[in-house]
Amino acid sequence: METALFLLVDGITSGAVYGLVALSLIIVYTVTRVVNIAQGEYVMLGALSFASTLQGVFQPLCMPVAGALAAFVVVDLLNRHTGRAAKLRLLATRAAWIAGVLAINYAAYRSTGSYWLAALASVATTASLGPIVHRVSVEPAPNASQIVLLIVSVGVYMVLHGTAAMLWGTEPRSVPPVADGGVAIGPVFVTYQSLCICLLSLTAMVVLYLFSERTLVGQALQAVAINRVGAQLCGIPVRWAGQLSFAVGAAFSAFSGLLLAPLVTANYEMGFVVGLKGFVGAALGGIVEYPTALIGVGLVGTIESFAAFHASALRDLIVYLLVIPILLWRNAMKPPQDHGH
Amino acid sequence: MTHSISNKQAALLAACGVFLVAALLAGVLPPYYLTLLVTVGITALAASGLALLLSSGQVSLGHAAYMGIGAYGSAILARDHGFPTPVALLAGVAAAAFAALVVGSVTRGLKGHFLPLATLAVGIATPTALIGASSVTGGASGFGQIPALAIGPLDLSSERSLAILVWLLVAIAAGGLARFQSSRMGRAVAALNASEQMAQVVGIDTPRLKLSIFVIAAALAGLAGGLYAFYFRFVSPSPFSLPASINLLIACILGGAASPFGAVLGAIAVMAIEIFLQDVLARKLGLPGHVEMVVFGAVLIGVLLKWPGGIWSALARFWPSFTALKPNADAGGAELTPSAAERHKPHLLQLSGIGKSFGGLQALADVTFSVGAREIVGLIGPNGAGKSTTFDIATGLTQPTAGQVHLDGLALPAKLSQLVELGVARTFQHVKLVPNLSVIENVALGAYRQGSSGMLAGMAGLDRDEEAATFALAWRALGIVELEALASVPASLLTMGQARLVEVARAIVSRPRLLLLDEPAAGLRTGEKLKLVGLLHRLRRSGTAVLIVEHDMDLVMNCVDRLIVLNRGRDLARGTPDEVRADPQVIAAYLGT
Repeated sequence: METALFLLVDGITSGAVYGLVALSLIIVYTVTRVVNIAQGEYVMLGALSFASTLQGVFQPLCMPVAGALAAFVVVDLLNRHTGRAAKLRLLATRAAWIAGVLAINYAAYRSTGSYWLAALASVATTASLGPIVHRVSVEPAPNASQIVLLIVSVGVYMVLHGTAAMLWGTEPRSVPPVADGGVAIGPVFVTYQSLCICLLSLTAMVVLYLFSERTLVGQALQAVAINRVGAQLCGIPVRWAGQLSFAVGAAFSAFSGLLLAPLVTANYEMGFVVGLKGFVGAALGGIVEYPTALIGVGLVGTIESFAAFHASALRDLIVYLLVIPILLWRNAMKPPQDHGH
Repeated sequence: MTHSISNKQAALLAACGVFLVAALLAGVLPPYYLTLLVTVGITALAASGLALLLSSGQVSLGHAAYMGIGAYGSAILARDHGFPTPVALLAGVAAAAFAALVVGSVTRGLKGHFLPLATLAVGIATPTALIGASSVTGGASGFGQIPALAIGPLDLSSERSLAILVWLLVAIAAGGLARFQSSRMGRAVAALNASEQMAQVVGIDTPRLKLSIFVIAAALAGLAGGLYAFYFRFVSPSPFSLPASINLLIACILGGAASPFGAVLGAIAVMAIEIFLQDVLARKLGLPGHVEMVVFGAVLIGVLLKWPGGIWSALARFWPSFTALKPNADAGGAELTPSAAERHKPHLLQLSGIGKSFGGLQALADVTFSVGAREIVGLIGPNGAGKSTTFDIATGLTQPTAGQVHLDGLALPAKLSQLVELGVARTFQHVKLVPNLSVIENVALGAYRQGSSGMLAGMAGLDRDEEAATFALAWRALGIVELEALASVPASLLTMGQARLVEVARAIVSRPRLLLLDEPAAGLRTGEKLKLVGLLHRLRRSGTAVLIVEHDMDLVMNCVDRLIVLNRGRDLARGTPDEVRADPQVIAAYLGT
């Protein structure tokens, strides 16, 4: 019984991490129709940025991101179809953005060991990478089919994965937990890190929910997800919505990377598996709805944790074979529907 | 005959070319490059099957799993059970096909993105199972000592002869699949990809077709896997894991999934880029391996954003498009009219007491009417009256919540695809054509049920007589709607009016006794409308009954024998056009009271 409870807690903890990735995948998929194979790489980038900032290094992702943002400023300023006022506005917002990313990273670098500042810096930097990726890999071919966009995202995966290995090397980096120790809840001992992961994940999900339902920007994203053409006719810039969804997705994934890093150590290969589990969880949940995706990832985490205890060699086999009956069941209950285009 | 070559001849030539070049290379390349040549061939073989799968609108994210089943099946049977090697190879292919049959049957009901996810799960579970069942498979490290392939007296133990065999099979698969695209079943696959509902209406048993395509794609992967085992004489799970599956997809999409030759090109391109990067970045510049990965990813992104249709789409303009020559006027003996016996059955279609509610909304209540032989019946009513719902119920697309639909006094068949055999054809309110097929091929789709050629006949070109008969019918139908001049134009380039008439031609080709037209005049110009009225009269003379939903009152009043007026889901009035025109209730419904 105690073992079962322990495994349940373990499963829920992993499920919470996968859940953040699942939400990233969902927001990216619904707004842009990209099944983003590269999503897990933001988990890895977030974790590695966090680890190196904590170690007192000016984290290496910051300069490439700032450089790419600056390059796009130049490209946009050279665009002859933009008016002068728009150019000034663009220059001001982008300059503030770049300065913000640089400043927060510098602040985190100077106050070595500041946990929360390092977390903020790594999430902000990784989130800034999202729109860059959207701009380079999605915008140039607006009419590409979904499968082509999927393979393009494999290309993005390769670029990010290889770049991370060059920037950080292949050695794993350990990250200290938020707090050592834990607390006994009934018969089970729960570490503070587990508690923290669950609480912060839940908070992040609530924030995303409120953002989607209660803010105009969130509503605009939903509008694009439901009907791209209709949203465009209402004056919502679809390119901007896509960039924003990539930014939010990258931020959530990076955040899950921070939470996961103390459990598994940050390394350049951690992303793919987490992304895959998030993908399975998201898809089990229907990929377009947030609450069911959470049940999906909870299931994946728990099944994985139980299967690992009872038969570790066959862990993946059990997780993925169970996917099929769950899919059949969900399909019978409520088949997925294509949103209108 | 024409001077330019047809696309089927081009497929044959390209297949011969691929084989000759590869055979020449197999004869001269040094051993290291020979292995690369074989690896490319194996990838190309599996990717060509995957291209077929993609062209049917399905996707497999774990296709390398079937390669693994083919490889391990062949290797274990040949090494541990003493099977003759060719038998073991075929058994491996059969095992992969059988696995796909099981997976496909279990997952056939899955919709949307659930299906790719299920294939992903299979793709990860299979290599994991190969590792887990270590007593048979040797676990993660695999096993060697696989005997050499020997087909009868033909010894294929030399790597060069096996390389030639691999590329012979690649050429046969790619050439066959390219020819298949312009055959009866090939058109059916294209229709399936364009609209499953339309495919069923023209008589294609879509669940079965999907499953067959999946099994064929898996069998090709299994063959590729078996050849892998016999070439390397060693198998382990990693070449069949998820990254390998993604690699197959990359080859397919990078090369261009529109053609099996695209898949071959993609396999070659992937290998060429890798070799080039290794040579330049690693050897000459001494950069670490991660740089190669970054550059490969960047090349992939760049090529696909420039040509979303892959490398093939850049070359496709050199490929001859499908041409169907118009047969001589007296050549075809086939008639487009229903047979005499079928013409005179009274009460073809009978709807009795039809009701339909969507949740709390009662869309239809107690709608009863019939359509008799040689009759044109119009179904009219204001927007939201329930006309389209009635139409979909009459053709089995929607099930009513009350009442029955009878055809010749019998209930509608269980499968939508059987309806066309009973002499029922329809068009769609939102035109459903296959955009990438020519107009004449779209029309020929209507004759699907009159043909019988299977996939193999299409690949081998054994379907000439039947194709000639099919296209003779298609030309005649296209002549009836007076669009012969557009026969070779891709359907995507048609105007709305032309597209509607092509749909009518597709329906006529199936020689219907009952033709249901859903707003056929929407988007038609005046001239086209007159053409349509003439066509309807002509069809009635030849013994076809017509049920027409239409908003254009002039057109309806000019051609129908009887009208049924629906309002708010109920039967409001019925009678001859003059009676309906004078009915005060109808006037009230249309103009408001």
